[in-house]
Amino acid sequence: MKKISFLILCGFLGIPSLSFAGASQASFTPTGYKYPIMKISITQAGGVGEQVLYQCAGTTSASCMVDVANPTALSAIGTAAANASIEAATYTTINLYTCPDGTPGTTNTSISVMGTVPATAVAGGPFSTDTNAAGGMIAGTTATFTDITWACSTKSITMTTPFVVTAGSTQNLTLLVDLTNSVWTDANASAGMGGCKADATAAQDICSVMPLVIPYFGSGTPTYERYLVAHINAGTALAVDANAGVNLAIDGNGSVFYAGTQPYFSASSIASTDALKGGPDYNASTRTLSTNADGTIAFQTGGSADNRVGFTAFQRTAVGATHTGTCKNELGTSPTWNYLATRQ
Amino acid sequence: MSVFALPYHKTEAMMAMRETLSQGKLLVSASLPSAIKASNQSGFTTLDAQSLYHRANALLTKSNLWGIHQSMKNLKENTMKLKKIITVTIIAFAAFGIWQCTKPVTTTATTTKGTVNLILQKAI
Repeated sequence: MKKISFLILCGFLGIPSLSFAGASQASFTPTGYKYPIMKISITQAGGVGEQVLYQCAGTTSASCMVDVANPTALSAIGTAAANASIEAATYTTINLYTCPDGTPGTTNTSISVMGTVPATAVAGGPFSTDTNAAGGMIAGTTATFTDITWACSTKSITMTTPFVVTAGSTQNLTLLVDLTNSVWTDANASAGMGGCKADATAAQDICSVMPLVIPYFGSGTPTYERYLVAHINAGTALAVDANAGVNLAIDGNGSVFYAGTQPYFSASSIASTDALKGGPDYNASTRTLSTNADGTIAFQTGGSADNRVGFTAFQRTAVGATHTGTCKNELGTSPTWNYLATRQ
Repeated sequence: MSVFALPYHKTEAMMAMRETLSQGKLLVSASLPSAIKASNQSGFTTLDAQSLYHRANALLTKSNLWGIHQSMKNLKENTMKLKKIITVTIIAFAAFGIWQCTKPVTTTATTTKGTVNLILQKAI
């Protein structure tokens, strides 16, 4: 309410709109994240030829909750899914079902998260998730799981390199679950906002996005590079304005095999709707990815030519270093944004 | 031309009659007067000619009957042979069928599937 009043006041006074996320906002990485995994499947281009890799033994989302922050729980999925017999074909998409087949998107399910956001990240902190808090968070460092309502959905992740199954072959398909900054607190969240749990007071609320799920079937142990990205429509962007994250996954040969994007919130982050510094949309998974001759990464998110962010030459830098460039979405009339990325 | 004493043995009689008929020496099936005339010309008496004529015709009749009997016998033998051939063929087919059904199954179809192990890990 306070933020909306501020924006109305700015518009009334003719002051250029610059919407901040707010001092009460902060992204953080949860220590617990229970997610309903009803089914995991792979499909060929066009969504055909579905093959089931894992099917939960339970019949409801509630009975199929998996703490994806817990390595033991993740390993149990792998044990249950071992030696799946899959039709020989070329697969391009991994699908994670939160609800039984055929459940409409109007049906609700829930996730459950647990974690603490430090005092340095948000004014009045630290805050922790709490089972009984109406807004999902209380002051302090004692965290318990709190449920957040989600709509039933299927998360489809495009494999930028197709996964090829040949007759008689045996191979591993690894899903790397990246929980970095997958939840954030916000005193001004609304219960009507997707993925949020909120009360009607000024207490801290909690919001969530789907963790980054990175398909991997390369060799060697993967490593990660995480960048925070700020935007501006002209000039040089400021690091403190960062409102998005880019997470690169690197295989054992040092090559980037996946790029994930997500929104990012801090006390100084800019709202994504801001015309001056908002930048493109970072809420979709990557559709295409390639490495340029100079080692920079080109990737595009989203399922089609829409407003999801894309980069033509995203640079890889050392920890703490920054690089600049341009990005935009695929809409012909959309602006080209100048960005600044800071390696975390 | 000579009239010979027709033997009583069926086979010999038939052979002799066939030879005689083919040479035109004695038309046994001809009329009795012509047979007597032919016999007289060969130095036989009429009585002998009559006797020979009747005996030859009797033998010929018997031979014809025997020929039918022989044909029937041959038919029966051929039928038996055919039955044996059919029986052997049926047995052969049956044996082939049993062999096909009981021989070990050899899998020649190629699999169209691969094995995938799904692994979930936390990205650290």
